[in-house]
Amino acid sequence: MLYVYAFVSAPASLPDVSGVGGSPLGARRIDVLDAVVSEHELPVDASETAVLEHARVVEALAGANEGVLPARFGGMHADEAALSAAVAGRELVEALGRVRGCVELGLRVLGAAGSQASAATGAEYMRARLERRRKLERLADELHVPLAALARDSTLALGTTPRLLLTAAYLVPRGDVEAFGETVASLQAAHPELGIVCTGPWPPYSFAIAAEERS
Amino acid sequence: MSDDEKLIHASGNLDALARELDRVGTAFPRRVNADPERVEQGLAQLVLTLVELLRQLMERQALRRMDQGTLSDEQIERLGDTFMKLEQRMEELKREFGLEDRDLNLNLGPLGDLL
Repeated sequence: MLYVYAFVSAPASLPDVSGVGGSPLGARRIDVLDAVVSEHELPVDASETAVLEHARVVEALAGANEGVLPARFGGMHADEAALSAAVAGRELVEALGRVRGCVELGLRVLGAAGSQASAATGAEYMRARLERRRKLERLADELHVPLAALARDSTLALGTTPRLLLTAAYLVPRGDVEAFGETVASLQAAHPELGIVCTGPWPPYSFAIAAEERS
Repeated sequence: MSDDEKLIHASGNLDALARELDRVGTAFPRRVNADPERVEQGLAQLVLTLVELLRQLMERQALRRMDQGTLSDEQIERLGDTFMKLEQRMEELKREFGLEDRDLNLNLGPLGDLL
């Protein structure tokens, strides 16, 4: 069986790392792309070790190739024909073009800890909810909009938990990472009350998986 | 890869963020628990997930209408009261079946997370 890590432009430049369970990496040509895979007798079990091994391969591939489309963890195919059939018709070449030369940066914004006041009446509850929604949207205008302007693409989720106000991912050209970090620092200076955490550079997971499965 | 190699900017307490992310979910695909001994909990997880999704969708829709000013004061009061009671009941049911917030966030693959 073939375990898939990522797709890159052919010919793939294979880094000197091993795959899941120490298996060697190989490339399987599909049209103008190479699928980076390893061969296994049995399906790969989901474990923390395997997830980290998958991530290490994708990370190394992103360093060795100009563009990389990470595959979701755990994707296996019976053989090369099954792999080709699975990706047939998916716009992988276009998706690879979108992420080429870019890295993913993650942003998480944490608000102050505080108990939510419990509402006494239905109207009070609705007003509190509406006020929270508006606050989150204002926050997105102030933080997300200027950062999204620096990115080729972005994702955004507001109010995932009462404290986790904003979660976003940005697809940023490799050369613009430093400028992005400076913008984050200036936004933090303007909002000292918020805990802003920016991580990266990551392989473009948030911008590849959707493309991989959009079919 | 060292821990801070991937940190471009961080302020304050990263532990607080880690705790918050723990509430959202784990790296592993979440599946409904179909273990025969605990099938009741698995079923409750599935049903409560759907109820929570519907509650959130309806609340979002109600807030939008309230924002546009198309709800009367009486309607706002009634809707708010319903959502508030639903939320309280959900908390009780989650406790009863030993479920956490993150148990109610099913990953729908290409559609992303449910909540």
